[in-house]
Amino acid sequence: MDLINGVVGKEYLLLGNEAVVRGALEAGMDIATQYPGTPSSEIGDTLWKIKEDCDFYYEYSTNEKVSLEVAAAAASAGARSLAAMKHVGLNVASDSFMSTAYTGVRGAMVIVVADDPSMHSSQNEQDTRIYSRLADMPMLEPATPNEAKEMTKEAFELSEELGMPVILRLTTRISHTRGPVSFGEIKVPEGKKEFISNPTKFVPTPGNAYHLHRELKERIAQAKKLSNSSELNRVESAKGRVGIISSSVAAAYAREVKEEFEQEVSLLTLAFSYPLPDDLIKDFVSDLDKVLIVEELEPVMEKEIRSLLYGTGIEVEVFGKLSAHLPELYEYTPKLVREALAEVLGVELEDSALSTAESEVEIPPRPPVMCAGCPHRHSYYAVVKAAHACTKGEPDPVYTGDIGCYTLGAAPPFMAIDYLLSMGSSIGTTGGFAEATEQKVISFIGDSTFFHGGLPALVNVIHNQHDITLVILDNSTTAMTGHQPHPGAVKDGEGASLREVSIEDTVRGMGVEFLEVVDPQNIEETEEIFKEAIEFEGVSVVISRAPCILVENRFKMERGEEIVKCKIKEEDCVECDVCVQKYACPAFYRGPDGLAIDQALCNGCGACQQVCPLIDLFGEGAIEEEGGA
Amino acid sequence: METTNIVITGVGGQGIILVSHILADAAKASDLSVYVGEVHGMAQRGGVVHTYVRIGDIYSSLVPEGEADIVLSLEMGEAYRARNYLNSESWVITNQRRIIPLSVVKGEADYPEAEEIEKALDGLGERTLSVDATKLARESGSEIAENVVMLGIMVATGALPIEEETIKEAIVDRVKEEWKEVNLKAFAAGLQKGQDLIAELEL
Repeated sequence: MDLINGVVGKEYLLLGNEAVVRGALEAGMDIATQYPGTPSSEIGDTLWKIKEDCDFYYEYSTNEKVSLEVAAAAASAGARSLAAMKHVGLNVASDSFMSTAYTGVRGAMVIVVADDPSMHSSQNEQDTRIYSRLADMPMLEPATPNEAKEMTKEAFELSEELGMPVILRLTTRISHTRGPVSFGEIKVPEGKKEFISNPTKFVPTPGNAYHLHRELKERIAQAKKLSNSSELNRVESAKGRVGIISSSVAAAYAREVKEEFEQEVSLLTLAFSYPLPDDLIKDFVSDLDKVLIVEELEPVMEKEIRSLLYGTGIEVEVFGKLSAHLPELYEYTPKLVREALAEVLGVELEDSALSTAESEVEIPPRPPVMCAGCPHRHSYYAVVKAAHACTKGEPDPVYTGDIGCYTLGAAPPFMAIDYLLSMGSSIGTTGGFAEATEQKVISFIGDSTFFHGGLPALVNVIHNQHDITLVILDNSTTAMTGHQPHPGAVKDGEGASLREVSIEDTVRGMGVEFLEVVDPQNIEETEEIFKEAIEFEGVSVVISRAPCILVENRFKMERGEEIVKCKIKEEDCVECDVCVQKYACPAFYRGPDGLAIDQALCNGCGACQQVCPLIDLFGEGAIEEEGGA
Repeated sequence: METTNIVITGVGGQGIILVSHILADAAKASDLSVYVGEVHGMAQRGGVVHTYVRIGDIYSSLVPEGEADIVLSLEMGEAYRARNYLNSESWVITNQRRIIPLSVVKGEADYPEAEEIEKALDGLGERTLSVDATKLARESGSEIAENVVMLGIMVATGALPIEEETIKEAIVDRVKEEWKEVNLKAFAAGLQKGQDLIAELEL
C-alpha cells in the first residue's frame, strides 16, 4: 500500500483524510481514536486498515467524547495522540474538550475536526472555528490534501511546543479531495510512556482550574506570537492596492481566481488561523485600500479583523460577509469568490455559463433511498403496520428517530420519524412526548448509535418509567459511514483484541421488562411482536436484527455462494402497487406487463414475498462479481 | 498551463468514482497536477453522484459552474441535470441509459423519454455525444463496464491532455486481473464509437 510503503520524496494521489494519516505517521503518532462520521470517516478507516502493519494503537471508540478522552489521557502520559471526528462530533466531545485546553498535555495531541459546509451528510453546518475561540485552542486549517499532511505534522510539533491540544480543521472539500501529496520520512513511535502524577495540572478542581485558566491565557499569548511568525501563514504580495485574506479551501479558490484579473491582488492565507496573527494582518493591510475576507460559514475572521483594525488608524476598507459581498450560508465555490473579488475590484464579469433558465425537460429528483433488501425497510414496514393497528381511533403515534441509514425512514412511504435532534436523541426525546401527550411513542435507534448516545437516555426512560417502545435496528455494523465495527458487532478475526458487548444483555441488565429479539426478514412475525410491544405499558424494547444486506452479500460472494434473486410473475400482476407504494423497494420497476424486479438491483433478501404472493426466489441469476471499473 | 475541468455524473453504483480514479491516475502518470472531488456518505444511497476531475494549475477540486470542459454522464437525465456546469464550448457525453427513480415508478413524478432528453441536450450546444454505452459494454463482455466505454468516448474527443495508452495502463492497474480484457475491450469500443460519432457530426 502506497500510504505506508510509498517512496520518500515522491508524490502520491491521496484523499485529504488519507493525507492526515500519512502526516500522523510522519509525526510518529502513538495513539489514534475515532467514532466514524462523514466527512471525517476515512481517517479512522485508513488507520484501521494499516494498524497491523504499523506501530501505533488505533481504536474505534464508542463516541467522540470517549475517543477524545482516550487521546487526551495518552497525550497526558507523554504520547503523541490524534482524535478525529466530524464537526457535530465535537459537540459530543465538548465537555472533555474544554477541559483539555485547561489541563494541556505532556506529549502532543491533535484533534482533527471535519466541518461540512452545505451539509452534504450532516444535520447542521456549524463552524468549528468558533470552538477554537470558545476553548482557546490553537487551530490549523489546510486548504489541500498536501497541506493536510504537512499541517498534521506541524500540529503535533505545535502541540508539543505549547503543551496543549491543537485543532486541525478540515472541511468536506478537503477531506474528500484527492490530490498530489509529497511523502516525507515515517517516524516510528518511541514506545510506552510513564504517566507522572501532577494533580494541580490534570485535575481541574475549582481551585486548580483557577490557576489553569491563567496558564491557558499565557499559552494562547505564546501561540499568538508563533502564529504571527509562522511560515504556515503565507503572504503573496502584489503591486495592486487590493488584497484578500482567506483560510481553508476558500484560500485555494482565492489563489485560483485572483490570477484571472488584470489588476494584481495580494493574498494572505491564514493556515495557522487561531490565534489570529494580529501583527501580520495589520502589516498586510497597511499597504492596501481594500481587503476582501474570504472564509466559508461564519464571519469569524472578518469580525476579528474589523475589531483588530478599529482605532488603529489603518485606512483599509474591509469587504466580506458583513458587507454582503459573500454569503454566510453553504460552501463557497471558485465562481462565488471570483464574483465577490470582481465587485471589490469594480470589474464587470462575462458569464460564460449557458442560460438554462428555461428548462426543456424536468428531471425528477433522486433522493437517497434505503438499498434494495435493506432490513430497515422490513422493520419500518412492520412497525408502521403494527402502529396503525394499535392506534385505531387514537391520534397517530409520535415517532422519534436517530442518525444512520435508517434516518431514511423519515421519507415516504414510512414517514416514521417525526423528531430528531442528534445522535442518541431518539431515546432521550421519548420522555418528553410520553409525558406531554397521550400519544403512543415509538423510537428508532441503530446499533452503533445505541452504544454511542443511547445508553444514558435508556437509563433515563427506565428510571422515570416512561411509557414508550424502543426499536433497536441492529444490522451489526455502522453502515452509513462505511461499515465500521462497533461494540455490538465484532467481525471474524477481530475477537482476539476486541470483545463484543451484547445489546440484549445490556438492555436486560438495565431492567427492561419487555424485551424481544426479532428477525425483520420475517415481516409477519415482526409485526406481531411490535403490536405486543406497543400495547405494553411501560418501556418495551424490540431488537430488530438482520445484517446489512451489502455486508451480507459481500460475505456470500467471498464464500462463493450464489445470491438468489427475486422475480414477480409479471403476467399475473394486477398492479395493486403495494410493493412500490407501501414497501418501496427500489428494485421494482414498471415493465410492459406489470411490475417487475430489476435483477441488477435486487439483493435477494426475499422479504418481498411476504408483501406480494406473486414473488418468488429463483436461482439462475447470481449477482455477477463487480467487473467493470 | 490550461486547466481541464471534468464533471462525471450518474447514479450511485454506476462506477463513477472509479472512472475518476482511472483518469486521475493517468493524469498523475503523465506528470500533470490533478485534483479529484469525491462524494462519500449518505449521497451514495441511490442518489445522484458527481465527481470532479481537474487537471492543470489548480489547488482545489470543485469545478465552477459554467466551466466544465467535459460533462460525462453515465445516465441520460443526469447529463441534463448537470447543465449548470456547461458553457458553449463544453463537451457533453452521455450514456443513453435511463435509471428510473422510485418516485416515478410510484406515479408521483414523470421521467422524460430518451428522445425528449436528447433534444434538450442538443439544445444546449454543438458538442453533444449520446451513446448506448450499456449496450457496447454488454457486447464487450459485461454491462458493468459501461463506465469504461464512456471513458473511451471521452478520449475520442481529444479534449484530455492525456495519451490513450496512459489511460489504458491506468485501467489495467485499477481493475481485477479477470476483468482486464473486458474493460480494455469496452474502452476500445467506446473510443471507436466516439471517433465515428465525431466524424459523423463533423465536430
